[in-house]
Amino acid sequence: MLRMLSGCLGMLLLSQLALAEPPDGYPFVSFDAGLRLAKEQKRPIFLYFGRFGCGWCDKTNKEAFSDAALRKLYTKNYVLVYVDSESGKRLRLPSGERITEADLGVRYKAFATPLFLFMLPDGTEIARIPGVKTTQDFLDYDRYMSGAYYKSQTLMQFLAGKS
Amino acid sequence: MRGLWAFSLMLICLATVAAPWVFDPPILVSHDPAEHAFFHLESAGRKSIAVSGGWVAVTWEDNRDGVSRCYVAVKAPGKNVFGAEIRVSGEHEAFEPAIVGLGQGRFTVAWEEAGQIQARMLAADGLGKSIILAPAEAAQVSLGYAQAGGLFAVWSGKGKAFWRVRAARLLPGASGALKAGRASVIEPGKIEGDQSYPSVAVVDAKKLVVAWEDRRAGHTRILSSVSQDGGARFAAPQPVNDAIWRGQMGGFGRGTGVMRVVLSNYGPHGVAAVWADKRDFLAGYDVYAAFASGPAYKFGANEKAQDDFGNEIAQWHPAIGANRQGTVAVVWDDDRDGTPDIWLAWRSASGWSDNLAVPGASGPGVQSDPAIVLDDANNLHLAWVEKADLNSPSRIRYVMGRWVGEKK
Repeated sequence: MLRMLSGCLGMLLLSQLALAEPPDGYPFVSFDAGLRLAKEQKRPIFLYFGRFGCGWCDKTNKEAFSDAALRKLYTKNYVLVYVDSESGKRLRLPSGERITEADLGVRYKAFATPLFLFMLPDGTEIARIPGVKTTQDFLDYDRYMSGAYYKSQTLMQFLAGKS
Repeated sequence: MRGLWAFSLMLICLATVAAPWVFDPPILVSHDPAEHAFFHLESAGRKSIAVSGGWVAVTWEDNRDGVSRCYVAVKAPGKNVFGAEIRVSGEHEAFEPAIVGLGQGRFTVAWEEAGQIQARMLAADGLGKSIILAPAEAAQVSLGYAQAGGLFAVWSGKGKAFWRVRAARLLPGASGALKAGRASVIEPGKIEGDQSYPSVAVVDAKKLVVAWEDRRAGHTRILSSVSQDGGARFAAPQPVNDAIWRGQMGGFGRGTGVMRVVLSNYGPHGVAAVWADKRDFLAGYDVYAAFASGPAYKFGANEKAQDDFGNEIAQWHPAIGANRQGTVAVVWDDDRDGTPDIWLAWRSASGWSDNLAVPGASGPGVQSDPAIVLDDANNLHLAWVEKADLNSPSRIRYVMGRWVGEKK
């Protein structure tokens, strides 16, 4: 019990230390909480690697994620996970390993932000999308995921063939 | 085309031959065979390895018993094996241990445990009693020592609105005793953003330089400050990294990023810094260094420490080893050869060397998270994390580079 309490205390402290910039109004959670939620709810994960002060992230937040319909759609369809790729906030991987958000960024090669990933509820990576995106882009990605097109084609193939 | 290839290969070979160190075969630091343990070298200031009178000590965190705890292993002078791991942290989850050598085989190790910062002495006769440097809401401790200036710890602690860097003098006593002086904030008064991941270099009597990550500008910067009175008061912060922001983003965002500054003493009275710098933001972080001396200890021109072959990929976990003879070496990990390896660059009168994949710390699998220290004879001591792939259980290895450069 004491161990659990000290672990929770540590996580709470470092969650305060980390200063992240997810878009307003979205229920983003931490990576480990997101993996748990996705398994429980059998929902796919939308993972957003950002960086404090990142211009491309800010642009995407203000010009794409500000769309009310997109906010509603992504909140409904995905477990939303935000990772500050420079943060020392700690998380626990399914293996039991404790690492920082910054080192999660190393493992996912999140060297340029924003980086967006769609994942299945078990954490399997489906699509990896770097850079500034529009509301329409995110709507297209949602059609790819919600329609399960990833079972038969890559995101690039899907986007090339969309009407 | 074939001639160009041969010429490139010759240049690479020449660079290898020109390295001023010859590397021993690497050895294991951590002997625990736990199949599901994950080892981390990740202290603030990357102070995970230290030398002291011929002794070498490495400190790390692992979860061999299911709980993250801090350990240290020590290699005696002339030996080619590390002794058994010694647990330094207590009963709670503990992270990011840092270590510094005090001479004559004595070390000080500090770590974060359940929100506290703790520290204790380590010597051949065992561990001293642990003391608490910060009682709550603190993290990311680092250490610095110089014979003339003494021993200091720096860490980030929760303030009213933001986390802020604090420093305290530590006083090693006889029989493993350790006392802490009063902690001072680096920047008294109101601050406008979190201060984190500090590193400290003790330069001379009562003179120390602290650098840290600072978020007051709306993006992360590296700032530094010098104290001339033994850590009681610090000068106004100065920028270390160049603020590169071209303003082409139409008002979006605040600037590029930096991560994890590391300080080391350099030359008789100077300080060297290295950090991960995202000014070239499309290719990820690069390794940049700068040097400071003079009364104000203002850091000079930012120098890219990596060579051009690393430009298009990201570098991670830079660390710097330097000494009072003026030898300086920088290490980091990147995967330019397909998998993460430890890369080394050193600085001479003509500038930074070509990069060398450290023998024994490169090749198949993952070699990452290096920590480095140079001894007074310019020998290089390097520890790193080794694993089969990025998410595998891991272990810690060590290699010594014996100085074969010119006598200083």
